[in-house]
Parts: sequence; C-alpha cells; structure tokens
Amino acid sequence: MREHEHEDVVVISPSCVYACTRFRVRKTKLLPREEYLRIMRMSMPEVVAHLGRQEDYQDVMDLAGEFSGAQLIEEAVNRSLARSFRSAMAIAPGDLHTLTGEYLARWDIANVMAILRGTVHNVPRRQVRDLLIPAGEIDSALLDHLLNLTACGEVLEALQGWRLYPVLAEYYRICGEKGVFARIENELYRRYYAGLLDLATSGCSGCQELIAYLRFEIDITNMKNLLRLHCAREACDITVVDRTMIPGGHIPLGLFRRLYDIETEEEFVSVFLQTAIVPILTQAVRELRQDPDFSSTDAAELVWRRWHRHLRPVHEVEIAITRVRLHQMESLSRRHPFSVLPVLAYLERKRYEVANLRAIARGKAFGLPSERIWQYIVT
Amino acid sequence: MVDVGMTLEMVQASQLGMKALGAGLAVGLTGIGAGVAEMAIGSAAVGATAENRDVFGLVLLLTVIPETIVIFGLVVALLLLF
Repeated sequence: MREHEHEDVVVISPSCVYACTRFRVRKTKLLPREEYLRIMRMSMPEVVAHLGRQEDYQDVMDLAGEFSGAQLIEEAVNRSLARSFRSAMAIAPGDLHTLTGEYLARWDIANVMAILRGTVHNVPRRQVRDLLIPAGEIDSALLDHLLNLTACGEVLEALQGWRLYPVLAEYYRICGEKGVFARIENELYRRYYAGLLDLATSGCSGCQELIAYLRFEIDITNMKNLLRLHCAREACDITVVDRTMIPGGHIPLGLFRRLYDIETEEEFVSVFLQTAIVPILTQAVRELRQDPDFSSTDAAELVWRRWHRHLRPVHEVEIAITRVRLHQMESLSRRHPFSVLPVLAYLERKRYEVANLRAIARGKAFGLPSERIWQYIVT
Repeated sequence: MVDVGMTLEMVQASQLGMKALGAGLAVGLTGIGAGVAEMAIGSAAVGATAENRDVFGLVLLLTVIPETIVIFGLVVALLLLF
C-alpha cells in the first residue's frame, strides 16, 4: 500500500489511490436514507421496477421470469452483492487485495455451512441456492457443483482446496452428528477472525483502525452469544461458553466467563461497565431513543434487565449499534482516505444496503407495517 | 570563487553557464514536483472517472493544477536567461 515510508514523508502508491477513490465514489452511489423511506411506501411491483432502474440492480428484470415478489428482490440483491464484492477483489491491489480477500472469507463460511446443513437435512437444493452469496473465494461454479452433491462426504472432498478445509477435516468426522454444525461454525469463525487479525497486525495503512474495528466486532458477537447462551432453555456449562467465544476481542474471555456466573445486579453492572461495549452501546441507545441523558450505567442496567429475565438481545439495539459502528468506520475512512478503511467502509455499507432491501422485501411480503420494517433498516 | 588567472571573457562565460544551470534546475525540479503531485491526483482522477464519467471535466482541471508549478519554474528560468 505504501511504497516508501519515513518519519515525515509518505508516498502512497498510485494503484492504492486509484482503488480507494473508486471505492469512495462507489459508496456515494449506494442508496441514501431517503431512498429507503421512498421504497417502503411502494408496492412490491413498484419496488421491482424502481430497483430495475438502479445501476446495481438492473438484472432484477432478467430474473423476473424465474422469480417473483420478495424472492425476486432477494435474488437480485444477492447477485448484486456477489458482483460488487467480486469487482472489489478485482480492483484492490497488493495488501488491499489480500485483506479484502480475507475479509470476504466470511461469505465462504456462510455458504459452506448452508450447503452442509442442506445436504444433511435434505433441504431442497433450490432453497439452499437462494441462501448462497458467491462473494468469497469459492466461486459460483464450485458452489453449484457442491449443491449437486448428495452426500456430505462428497461435499467435504470437493472442498479440499478451501483455505479453511483443515477445520472441516478436523471437526467433521461423522456426517449428521448432532450438534457438530454449531461447533464447526464456531471454529470456522474463530479461525476467520484469527487470520484477519494476523494479517492486519502485519502492518498497513489504516490497519490499526481495522484491528480496533474487528476487535469490537468480536466483542459484540461474544456478548450476543453470551446473552443467547444465557437465555437458552437447556442448562449450559462453562465449556460451552468457552467453545462459543471468539478470542481476539478487547474484552478478555475471562470477563465473559465471570459475567456468565453473576446473579446480582450490582455485580453485573460493575463488571459490565468495565467492558469496551459500554460507550458504543450508550451512544447507540442515546441516538435510538433520542435521550441525551442516557448514561453508561443506564446501558449496563438495560443489559442486566434482559440478562436477568433470560431474554435475547433487543434487535433494535443491535441495529443501533451497527449504525454507530458504520458511522465510526466512515469517519475513520475519511481520516485515512488511502488505506484499507475506504474499502471496508464500502463493503460494509453494501452489505447493509442488501440486508435493508431484503428486510423491506420480506417485510412487505409478510404485510408488516412500515414502522416495524424501519426498525430493521441500517442507514 | 574567481581564479585570479581567469580572463574577463572566461568569467562572463562562467556566469552564463551558471545562469543556464539555474534555469535548467528551475524547470527540471518544478517538473519533478509537478509529476509527483500529479501522480496521486491523476490516479484519483482516473479512479473517479472510471466510476462516474460525468466528473471527467472536473478531474481534468484538478489534474492540471500542479502544472502551474512548472510554469513558475519556466518564468524563473526565462528571467534568469534574459
């Protein structure tokens, strides 16, 4: 990314400037907040026609013969996501290319898990295919090939060239073994984050900020998983907590173990206040409720109330946290315009644009009111 | 430093040579400076145009702004020589 770096003079390679500028321009073309409000007022055929006029979603019209309604929109947005991410890989040079590839490996994990689950539980191929987004290292040709295989052993054999194959080989000894998918998924994500953090630690422009972003993502994922484990009906022991947690975040895993055993509000609040989640959670809830007086203690008490009653995390709050994180990432990408951050900001924004359109399509298909759908929109 | 053994013609020729050298440096160094500046601006301009053709005119203007440095260098060179 940087060709020569001294104490005062930094020369950024022209290919990095070129790629970062392209991503910054691309980000400006993503749907703005007002556009979502407009789309939500439209009927399903109007949404399809509107998307057909957008540069990124033009193939919605080509797919209209094959799909309809919410499924048509989902298929079109998924294809657009895969196309955008493949194009991002084609543009990004050097270190940016490596980091982008490593970052996009999360789509491979999602695709492989969907195919394995579909194969073992005999889910119709078409249904599994709708879930796949060929945005990672595994291309659509290989995904189609995997979909056509009937036994999970064959799927594993076909995945031998995949960089995370050793995890599958290590954990997936018996096809259809109960509870094995959750273990594999946990391990795949552990390796994914470890690989990404390793690569970012090797040093590049904006890598320090990227590491902070990833570490916070790990913290949030761990906290969500802890809340889910706590609210699960079957009793779970500390080994399950250890297996589920992803190392590498700001919050040490010991603190999560400690939180899991706490039964009193005072202790929970005091331990939770030590975590790096609190400032972002406070800001997110403050913005969500438009309450400037909402303090970090209020945030800890909010989590305690869910925790105490064995309830899952509030979706609205999760979305609000994502919103705050995206805004932080964007402001960082403006501060470091020729680094990995503009690439990541674009990829994240695109990911949530597609998630928003899917939420609108599915919400409309189920007849949900606009206010309810709006809670799922990240702008 | 002037050598006491030099004739007036030799001194004049030496001064003319120095002026020519200064003029060359003025144009050459500003050219290098403009090139370095245009490297980043040009890359960004091509990137922006690749995504949005409408900005071509604007980015072309931005790309040639560092050329003014060379013009300053050229003016200095001409002042030195004439």
